[in-house]
Amino acid sequence: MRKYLLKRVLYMLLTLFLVATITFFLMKLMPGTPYTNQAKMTASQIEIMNKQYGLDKPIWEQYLIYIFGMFHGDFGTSFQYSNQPVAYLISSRLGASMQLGLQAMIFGVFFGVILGAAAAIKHNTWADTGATVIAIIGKSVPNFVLAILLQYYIALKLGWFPIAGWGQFSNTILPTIALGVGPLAETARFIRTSMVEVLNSDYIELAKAKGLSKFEVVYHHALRNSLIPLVTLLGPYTVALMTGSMVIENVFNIPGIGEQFVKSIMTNDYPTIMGVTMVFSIGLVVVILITDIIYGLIDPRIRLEGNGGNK
Amino acid sequence: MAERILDVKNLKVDFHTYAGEVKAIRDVSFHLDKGETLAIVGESGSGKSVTTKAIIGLLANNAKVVGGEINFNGQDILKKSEKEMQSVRGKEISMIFQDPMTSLDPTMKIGQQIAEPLMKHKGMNKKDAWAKALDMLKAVGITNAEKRINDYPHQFSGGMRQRIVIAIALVCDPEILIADEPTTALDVTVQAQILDLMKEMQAKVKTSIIFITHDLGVVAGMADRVAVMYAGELLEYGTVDEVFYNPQHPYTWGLLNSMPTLASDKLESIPGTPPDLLDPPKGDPFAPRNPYAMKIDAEQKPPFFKVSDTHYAATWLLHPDAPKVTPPEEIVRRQEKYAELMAKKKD
Amino acid sequence: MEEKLKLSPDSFEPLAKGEAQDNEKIAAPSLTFTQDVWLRLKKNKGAVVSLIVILLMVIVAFGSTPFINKSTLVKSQPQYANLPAKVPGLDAINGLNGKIKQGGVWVDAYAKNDVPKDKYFYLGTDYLGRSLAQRIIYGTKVSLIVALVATFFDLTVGVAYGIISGWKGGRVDNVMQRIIEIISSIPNLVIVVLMLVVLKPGMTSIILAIAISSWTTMARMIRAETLSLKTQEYVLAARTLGESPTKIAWKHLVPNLSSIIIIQTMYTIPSAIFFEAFLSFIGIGITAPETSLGVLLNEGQKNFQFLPYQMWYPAIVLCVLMIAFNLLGDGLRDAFDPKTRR
Repeated sequence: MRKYLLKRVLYMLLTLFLVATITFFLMKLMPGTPYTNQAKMTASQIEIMNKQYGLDKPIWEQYLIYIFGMFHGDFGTSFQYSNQPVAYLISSRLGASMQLGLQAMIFGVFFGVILGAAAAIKHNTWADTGATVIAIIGKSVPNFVLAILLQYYIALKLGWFPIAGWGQFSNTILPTIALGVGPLAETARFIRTSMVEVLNSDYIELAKAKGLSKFEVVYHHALRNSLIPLVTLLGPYTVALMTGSMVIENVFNIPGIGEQFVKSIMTNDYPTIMGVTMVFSIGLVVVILITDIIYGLIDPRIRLEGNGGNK
Repeated sequence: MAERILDVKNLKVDFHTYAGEVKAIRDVSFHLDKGETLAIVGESGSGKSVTTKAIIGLLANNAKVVGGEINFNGQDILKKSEKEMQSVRGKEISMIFQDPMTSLDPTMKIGQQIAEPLMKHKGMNKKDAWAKALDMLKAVGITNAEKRINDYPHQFSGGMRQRIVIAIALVCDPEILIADEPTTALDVTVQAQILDLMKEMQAKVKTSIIFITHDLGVVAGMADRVAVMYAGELLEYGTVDEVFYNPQHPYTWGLLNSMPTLASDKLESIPGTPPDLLDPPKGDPFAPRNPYAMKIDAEQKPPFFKVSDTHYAATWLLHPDAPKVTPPEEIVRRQEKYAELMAKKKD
Repeated sequence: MEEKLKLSPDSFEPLAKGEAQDNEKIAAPSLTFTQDVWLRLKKNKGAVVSLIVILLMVIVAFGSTPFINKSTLVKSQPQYANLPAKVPGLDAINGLNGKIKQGGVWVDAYAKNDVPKDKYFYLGTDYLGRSLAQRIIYGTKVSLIVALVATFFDLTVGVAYGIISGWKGGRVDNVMQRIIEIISSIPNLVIVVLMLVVLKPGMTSIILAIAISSWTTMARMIRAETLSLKTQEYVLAARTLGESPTKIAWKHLVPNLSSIIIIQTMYTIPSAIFFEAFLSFIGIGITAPETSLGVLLNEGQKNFQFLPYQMWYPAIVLCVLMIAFNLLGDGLRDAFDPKTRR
């Protein structure tokens, strides 16, 4: 198990290193300079700026500085916000994004499981159809469209929640829903399919033959077996939430890294783009690792293989 | 006369498919006595499994009982509510399935899986139930049971898993055990062990067994009586000796003839396929494959003709007007043996 | 009992050979796999409707090219700016008769702006007086093109990569899988954004960006299936008989992979459409004067409070497109794999 983990962590670091390298050189290929969006500057001003950001050094040196800096948590200095280290910029905004992402994930998975399980248990009835319709709509309506509709109709027209901003729990509700509907729909569809399969399996037949009630069969046998594979969706969900955060945070004016990312792209702020890219990649890689560990912990069949067999 | 524990009368089951109504069980009647083993033999798709699923009340969602009754200890099971059936299943009637590799919950310790019916039906607490589960595990021959009770199904071999399934089925001392091809998925050597275990356990818990199989070889050593099923109907039933040595229905002849024996060096088969039950034949369902078929076979369903008090067969060949036909060699040999046997018995 | 039976003298004659011995006849007509899939798909009302909707959208989007193209799209008519929908014959329905709600009252925007009486904009106009209907049709075409190219990449790169990786096995497979692993541990979005930042924003870059990041799922699924197909007896037989790997791939693998390929494609399409709309919406995808559903949503959002139709119409079209592809995908999945829907 330890050896396996070590190998995984090494791969993780290799992946991140490659991502950093690719990002760095792509940024160097980028058209336009960090000053494109700023007022006209004289050549000497640009030279001073270049020196300040280390852009006058040869590319390989910039690269080494960047990579070594990253090990110390130094992602360079933002072009846009003068003298602000990218690391500070990101860490001050990470909290909001993480809270929102986590809330959306919990919301989506919780209601998705309920919806999917209900659909599977009432397979081929109106409840199933209803759940399927909700799931299809949730999967099909883009989250930014939903965000705008929620903001306009629930917040502005009905006034139930604040229109935008951050700070109170009430601020988080609409963005959580908008962001969580995608995972909700995906979870519902996944659980429905996997539960229908489980419910048709022999061991469920045996559980019924034991005389267990429908609830006991579902609760003790079907649910656990269909929930386990859901863990594999954690990675894709994280990606979806990261993507979603870019636009949801914009719509609801939330000071998160998604919003920052979009801003940086608009202003050619490469150090910040690279920094956020790295944070997203680190986030995903860590989630994938956690997924594998959790999967090993909850599925007895895999646990054994991880231990190399303990019979 | 032995006490009748189960009496199935004129059972009819339809399956609803997108192609139409499949008449899977068409007027099946049989009974089961206390303590005996009844084998139901037939090809796949003949309706043996459906019959047993109807008895335990676990028919697929698209299946429907459209007629008949199933009397268990004098009460019609088909009239019971789902709630009432739950207290029958696993407690009074329990079931073993074909594939032990898939019939245990992969994420639950086997101890819990055995203890579950006890906690449900006998109101035991977890500790007592696990203690009984441990006894049961020992009884079905799992070595090192104290340790293995905490293992998960994937840590056991196929034969071991089937032993565990048997333990689950018998833990509440049921009156009827339905075994649906319990050895088909196992190696031949393991098959014999499981059959021995079933006989041993039957003696211990005094249960009646309905044994579903397509393998006649298994039946001879296991069953007291045999019922032959084909295309959703019973064609012949009787004691093991009667069906094996004095078969009357051409389908039974075909089945016995296709069993490998030491005397024959060539494997016989029954040509053709069973009829489509979307539109079942109105006469003898076996007629299209029957080399001895007569005109009436295609027109009218044969009634059961009595051969002896315990032996009945549904074939027009037993009608007084029917011409005498000579069955295949192997069957003639068997019938001669039977005559000897009967003669001996008379002495 | 016996009395009930109608026995005739010839009842016990042997059955004629022809009647008795046609026992090899199979009672129900047999269907090929494709026929069976089609039959099941036809039963699925949602999928059939979706298929029709998609076909209609494709026909309208591509068939309209001679009338709706870049030159008509950029022509602004400020005198017709921000007009609501007006459809001939629907004078009674507010919102579709040229009237718009202003301060709680329905006002005839066409009359107010002195628009000629016979001028109709079926879905209204945008802030430059351009027909929204035309722009939506054009935007749909952009979405479909993006989807088409992403699918093409899926089918070529993804399928080939998966087959090669699964078939070769061993070292090659190991290396190829590591590559996929690395690509998929970078969030899709980051790849797309980086591509867009480096290339000039626009149709080509967005298509390229989406295509590059979309094939890995397909490659993974194809690899897994190829691995299991490889050990199937009929493939082993073909190998033993010395058939060339290319021939085996075409004759045995691709047909057996077809269901996975088709189903996965049906999921690539909506996600490609979503990505385009998403990127254009936040302003780093397709940008004006080009248009797409994402661009329209972005423009519509700005005026949503006062001119809600400018966002509603493109939003509805986008959602219908997504729903149709998702439903068709589900229908195909169920049709190919009836186990999931019993």
